[in-house]
Amino acid sequence: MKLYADDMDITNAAGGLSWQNTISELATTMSFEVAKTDAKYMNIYQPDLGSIIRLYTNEEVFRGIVITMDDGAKNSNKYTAVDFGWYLNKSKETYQFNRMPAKKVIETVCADFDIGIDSISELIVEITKIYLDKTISEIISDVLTQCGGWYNFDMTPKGIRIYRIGDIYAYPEFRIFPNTRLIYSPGARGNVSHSISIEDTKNSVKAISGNEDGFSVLASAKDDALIGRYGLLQEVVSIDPEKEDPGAATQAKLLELSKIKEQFSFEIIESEDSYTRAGAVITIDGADFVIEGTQHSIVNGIYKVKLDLKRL
Amino acid sequence: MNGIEELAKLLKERENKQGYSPVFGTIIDLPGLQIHLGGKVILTEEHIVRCVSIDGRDEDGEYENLGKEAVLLPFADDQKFILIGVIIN
Repeated sequence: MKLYADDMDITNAAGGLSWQNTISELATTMSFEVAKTDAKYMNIYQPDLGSIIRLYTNEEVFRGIVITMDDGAKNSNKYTAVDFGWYLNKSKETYQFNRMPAKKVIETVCADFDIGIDSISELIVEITKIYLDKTISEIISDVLTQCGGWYNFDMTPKGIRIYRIGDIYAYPEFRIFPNTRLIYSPGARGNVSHSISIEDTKNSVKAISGNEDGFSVLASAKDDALIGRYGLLQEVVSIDPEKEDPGAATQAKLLELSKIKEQFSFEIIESEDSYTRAGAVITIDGADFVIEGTQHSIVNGIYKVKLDLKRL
Repeated sequence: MNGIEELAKLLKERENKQGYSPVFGTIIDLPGLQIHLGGKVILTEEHIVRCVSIDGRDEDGEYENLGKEAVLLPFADDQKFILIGVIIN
């Protein structure tokens, strides 16, 4: 593993390296320390604000820019670097799209801001919309929402990557010794925390429409098995019947709200040449989970990853 | 999702909205109304709800308001605009 700042190798002077990403954040955030000295004739490269930081394992896995520096301590400076996803909510622009395919919309926006493209799923939904003074991240998120399904976007050293959740599977592995076989990391997980809750669950949904004649109930949907078990938990949603079908909308809403909230997190050890990121899907004991967040750290030469999961 | 992330999400949901203000655009076509909002946006009939008539012609038969600045109020998440008047020079 190598860490570079402005093309200078700082691996030997750096410590406390950790980085994290989640599917609800735009950028991967990395923090590390670099040793410094006031001794004469000794020179350790000190990154500065704006320094380009790159992390290589078997390939480049992170490229970002230093945005915060804490240089108060005597013997080391602390740095925070973020990848280029950070810029996506810093710039605003106005756009109008008329029946343009979603993929082309994203390519147009990225081209205007010199954002490289790693990969984009085939998005064929046609976008007709005006964006007045919206940030790049708002535009991309809105386009992906219109495409339906569940898409995620993040940054790699090559550029932006847009994919459907479920297209990328993570398979972290590690070896106990260099000459032993690879072991599937979640099989040897530690610090497991798992909880389920019906705090936010609803098992009955009613759709209403408010117009000049007063309120009228358009459709309702309920899950009797869940009501029998947990009692009635009802949600009322307001729907415009001209825009969407009330029956289908209530069914979809019920499906979304009747899920039981599950939180699952644990730590694994991963070999340095594999990289598990938020947004990928991972199989644990036969069930698929989306990785909502990851925290990577290298402590005493051991690469540890904490995963936050959500059931798919 | 950890606590800090959840808190950040709640704060993000409650972010202040941008101030509501009228927008100005140049009328570039009549009677098939088209208004250029500047930059890349051109509004057509389907985007605009009229409160005033702007189709008046002068004695030469030319549209009086062609080329003038129109005042618009955005609504429906900036997808529709109410035309509330034309600026008199």
